Amino acid sequence: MLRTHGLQFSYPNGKGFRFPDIVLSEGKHLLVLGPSGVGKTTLLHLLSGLLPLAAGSIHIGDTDISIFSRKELDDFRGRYIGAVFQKSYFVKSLTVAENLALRQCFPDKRPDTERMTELSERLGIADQLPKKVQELSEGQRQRLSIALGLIHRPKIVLADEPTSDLDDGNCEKVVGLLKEEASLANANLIIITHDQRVKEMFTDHLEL
Amino acid sequence: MNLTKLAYKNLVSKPLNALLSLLLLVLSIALVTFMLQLSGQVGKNLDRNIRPVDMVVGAKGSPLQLVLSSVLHIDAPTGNIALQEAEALAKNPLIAKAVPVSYGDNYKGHRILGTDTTYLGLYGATLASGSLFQEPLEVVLGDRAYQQLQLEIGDTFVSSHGLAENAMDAHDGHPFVVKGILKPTGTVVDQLIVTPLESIWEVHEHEGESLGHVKEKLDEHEGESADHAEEGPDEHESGEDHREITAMLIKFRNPLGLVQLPRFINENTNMQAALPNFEIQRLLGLLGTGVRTVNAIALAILLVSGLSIFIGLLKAVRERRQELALLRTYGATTLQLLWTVLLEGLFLAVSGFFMGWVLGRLGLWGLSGHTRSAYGYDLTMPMPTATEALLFVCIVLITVLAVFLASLSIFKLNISKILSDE
Repeated sequence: MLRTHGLQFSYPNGKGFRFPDIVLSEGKHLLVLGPSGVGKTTLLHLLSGLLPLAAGSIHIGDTDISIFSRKELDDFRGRYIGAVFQKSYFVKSLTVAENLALRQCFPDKRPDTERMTELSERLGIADQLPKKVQELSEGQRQRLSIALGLIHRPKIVLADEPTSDLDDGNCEKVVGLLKEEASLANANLIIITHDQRVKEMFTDHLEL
Repeated sequence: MNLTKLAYKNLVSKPLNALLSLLLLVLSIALVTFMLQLSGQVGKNLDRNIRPVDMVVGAKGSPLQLVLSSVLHIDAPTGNIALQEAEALAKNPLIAKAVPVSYGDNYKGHRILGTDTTYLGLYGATLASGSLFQEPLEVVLGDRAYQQLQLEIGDTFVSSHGLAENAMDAHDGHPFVVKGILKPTGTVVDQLIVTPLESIWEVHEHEGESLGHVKEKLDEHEGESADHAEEGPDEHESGEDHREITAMLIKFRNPLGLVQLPRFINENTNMQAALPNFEIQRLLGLLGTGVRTVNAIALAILLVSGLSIFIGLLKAVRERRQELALLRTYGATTLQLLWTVLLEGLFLAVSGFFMGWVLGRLGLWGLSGHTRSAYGYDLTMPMPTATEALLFVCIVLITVLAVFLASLSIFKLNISKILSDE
C-alpha cells in the first residue's frame, strides 16, 4: 500500500510542483492523467526515490521513504519498485535472459530462474530468452519491458507513458498485461499518462 | 548475472575497440619489460666480467677491441706482446696481480685460453670435479663449456686454429686432455677452456718460424691476421726469450696505479694499456642513445595506450548513458556503476599487462638464442621483478585514473531526464 502527503518538488531555479495526496490500499491500481508539463514524470521519479523531495512524505507499507538516505533509497528501489518506461531500455550487450537476471540480482538477490521462466512464458517471450535484445521485434521489446518491471516481485509498479507510441490494439494489450501481472504479484500499479484511451480501463483516476 | 559479468560482457560486446587498446598496451608493456631486462642483464653481465680486471695491457690497436677480446672474449685480439716485456711491467709495485693470457684457438666454438691459475682466482672459479692443470696440454673446462662440449675428465680433443667454430685448420698433433671441471661462476670463465700458457706455445711450435717471418706473415694478411695472433714461436736456441702472450690482465694494488700506469705504458712501451671499465662505459654510452630511444618509444606507446583506454571508456560511458540510468532505476548505486566501468578497464589493463609481459619474455628468449650462438652469452628468463611489479601498479593506477576521468558523468547522471527524453 502507498500513501503520500503534501508532496512537493523544487527545481534549483525555484520553480516546482505540488502534488495532490495519493492513498492506495494493497493491490489497487491508479491512473494518473494530465497534459504535458504538469510534472507527471517528476511525480513518478519522486515515488521511486530517484529525485529528492522538497516537502511531504511517502509511506510505502509502514515505511517512510522520505527520510531515507540516498543509499537506502537505491536499495529500496531495487527491492520494491518496478519501472516500465515509454521507450524500452535494455543493456544491449546482454541477452534477454541476462537482462532479466541482471534486474533480479539487485540489490542483492539471487537469480530466480523459475520466476523468469514462468513470467516470460506468460508474456510470450520464453523463446526469446537466449537472443540478444537487438534481435527482438517492437512488440517483444514491450513485453520484455513489462517483464523487467515485474520480474523481481516489486510492491509498486510505476509505468511512465507506457502506451504513447502504440496503436489502439497494442495499447489495450500492454495495459492489460500490466494490470494482469501487477494483480498476480499483488502490487500497486501506477500508470502515468496523457493518453485518454487508457482512461476507461481504470476505475481510480487522479487528474493533475 | 552480476556486475563483474556485466563488465566483461560490455567489454567484449565491442571487441574491435577493446582490441586496439589491448594491442597498444601489450606492445608497450612488451617493449618496456624487454628493454628493462636486456639492459639490466647486459649491464650486470658486463660488470661481473670486467670488475676483476683493472687494466689490460696488449698490442697497440683499438683499446675497445683489446678489452672485448681479452676480458670478454668476444672479439679478435689486437696482436701479441713479448712475454719478457709484460713480465718486466708486472714487477711494478703498483700492480697487485698480473695475469698473462694467450689465446687464438678454439674447440667447437669455445675459446681455449692459455694462462695460469691466477686467472681462475680473478673470477673466483673453483673446481667442481677433477684437478687443475699442471702440465702443458691439460685443461679445465668452464661450466657451460663442459655442458655443451660433452667432454668428461680424461677425454682428449684437438683444437682448431682461430676463434671461430668450424675452422678447418686443426692442430692434430697436440691433443688436449681434460683434467678438471669448474663450478659455474656466472662470468665469461664458464664459456672457456682454460689451459697453461705453455700449451698454446706447444700447439703452435710446429709453426715456429723466426719471429721476423711471422711478422711478415701477419703483415700479409692484415685483415684476418688477428686470429693468428698466437703464432709466437718458442725460440730458446737464440738465447733470447721470444715467447709471446696476447695480453696481460692487471689488478692494481691501489688507485694510484690507475693514474700512473696507463699513461706510462702508452707513452714508454710499444704496448698499449686499456681500462675495461672506461672502455665499456664508452661502449654503453654509444649504445645508450639507442636504448634511450627505444625506451622513449615504449613510453610513448604506453601513454597512447592509456589514452586509448581512456577514450574507449569515455565513449562507452557516453553510449551507455541510458543503460547506466536504467541500472540506477534497478537500484544500482553510483559506486556500483563506477565499479562496473572500473572492472571493464581493469580487465583490459591486467590482461594487456600479462600478455605484454609474456611477449617481452618471449622476445628475450628469442634474442637469447641469438646471443648464445653469436657471443656465447645466455640471457636468463627471470620471474617478474620488482620493477615489473611497479610497472604493473603504474598501469593499474593509470587505468583507475582513466576510468575516473571517463566516468565523471556518472556522478551527475540525470536519470529522470535521460529516461524521459527521447
